[in-house]
Amino acid sequence: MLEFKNVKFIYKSGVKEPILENLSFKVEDGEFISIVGSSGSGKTTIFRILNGLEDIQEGSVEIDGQDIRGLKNYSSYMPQKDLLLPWKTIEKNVMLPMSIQKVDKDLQKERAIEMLKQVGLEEYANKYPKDLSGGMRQRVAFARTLCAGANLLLLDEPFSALDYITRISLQEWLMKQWLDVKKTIVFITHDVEEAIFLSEKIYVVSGRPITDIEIKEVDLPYPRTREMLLDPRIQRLKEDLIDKLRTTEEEE
Amino acid sequence: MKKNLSAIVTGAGLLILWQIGAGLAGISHILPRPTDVLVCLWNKREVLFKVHMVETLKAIVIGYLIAIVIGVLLAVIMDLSEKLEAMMYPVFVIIETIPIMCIAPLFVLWFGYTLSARILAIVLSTFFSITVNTFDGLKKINKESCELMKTYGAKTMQLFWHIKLPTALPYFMTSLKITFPWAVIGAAIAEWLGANRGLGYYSKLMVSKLDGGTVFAAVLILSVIAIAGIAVIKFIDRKFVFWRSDI
Ligand SMILES: Nc1ncnc2c1ncn2[C@@H]1O[C@H](COP(=O)(O)OP(=O)(O)OP(=O)(O)O)[C@@H](O)[C@H]1O
Ligand SMILES: [Mg+2]
Repeated sequence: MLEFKNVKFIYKSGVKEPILENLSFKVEDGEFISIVGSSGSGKTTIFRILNGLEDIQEGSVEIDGQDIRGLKNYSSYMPQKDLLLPWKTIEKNVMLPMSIQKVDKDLQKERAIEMLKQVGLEEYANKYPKDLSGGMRQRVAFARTLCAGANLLLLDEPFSALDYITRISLQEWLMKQWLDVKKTIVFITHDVEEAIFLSEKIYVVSGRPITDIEIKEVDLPYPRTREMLLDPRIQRLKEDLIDKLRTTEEEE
Repeated sequence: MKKNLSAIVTGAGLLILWQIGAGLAGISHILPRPTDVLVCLWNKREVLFKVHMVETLKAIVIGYLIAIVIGVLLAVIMDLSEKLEAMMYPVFVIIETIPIMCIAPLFVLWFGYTLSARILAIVLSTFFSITVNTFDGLKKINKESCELMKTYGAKTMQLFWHIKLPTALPYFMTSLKITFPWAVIGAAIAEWLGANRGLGYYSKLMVSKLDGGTVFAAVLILSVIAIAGIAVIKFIDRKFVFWRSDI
């Protein structure tokens, strides 16, 4: 279980006003959570704190009751850009987190191939990123994220740069991946429909600083289909979320 | 291909003009025809290739390798330490613009008619540019990639091997393409100034003997060395450094 406890955070550079203030929330193991909120509200900041890239000023962030500052490899981050290294083959890119963690070479290769199979790209193992389409590169980036070996996956708008059709097919694909690998996924998105389609719960962040999170449950069974989104209840949820985002946008 | 073809036509045209013009002038000891140059190249092939070209190549290879090693090392050092960067980088950028060859006569005073003097000339005329370009390349790293690597737990050395070096490599290769001809010119001039062997020395000797054909023959070999060197660098670049456009 992931838990933010009364967290306060201010960036050391830039405006010295807090981004997070006395913020508390939980994510249970195995959940699929989406975080939505207007641009610049601090969603990526939450991930940067979780990654250990930023240090909080007050409160604590805990995984299963232990402060993350004493932990390693508890989360893997997938940024918006795939950030595949153009000088490495697809396989070497996927192996990268394991190579950093000095995993045994044979095991690295074995796991990388396994992950590439999982994302359906094993025949591209020896190709380079430039040979792949945007959607394929995003799948490779996901395989690389899985190879970091953590149970908590932090996905920061991974599909936002893709065209609509690729995006919805990757959403369906990601849902299957999640049902398969049974890891905890926290997924940042701007796209309300994407959040509803994928997640069990939607965390709406708003305000500067962010002081609390409003949680919306998405009451749909898995595996989900696009038709389920037409359900009037879901339509109402969608309108409701859009309204929330719009009012917070206007306040700022 | 079309572009090459028109260049070939222009080149051939100029050679023909030269051939006819020099023929009319009738002073082949100082203005030889292209055919005279080829004849000299053939007649003097033993000395030109076996003695002088070997000597020049020796200086170029040793000097250029030293320049590459020093150049890359300095770039890496400046990249590791901001203090050293602040101390050295601006100085290098200025030195890069100084025509080193103008002080080459001093090297001869320091080292005499030795290989060391010539190697020094080659090193000094090339390594600043290699340092500056490679250093600029090291600074071109993608911050987000580095952060991602840090989330995997990457240490400084790992960042260096996985991200920094590959990012800088295209810039390093570019610096080689630019500086290799300077190494050849540097070698030739240094030999002019103080040597008793080498293509530069030999061409100077032949000027004093009024043997224009052989002067041109030596220059022709120097050009071929420069062109061949660049071709090799370009080949390596295209084959192994294919990510230039993706950085
Ligand atoms: N490294 C940084 N230093 C200083 N301020 C920062 C830094 N990164 C982000 N900020 C500021 O913190 C605020 C929150 O940024 P953050 O990137 O977390 O927003 P976000 O919700 O992810 O936005 P978006 O939806 O556009 O990605 C913004 O106002 C931003 O300007
Ligand atoms: Mg963001």
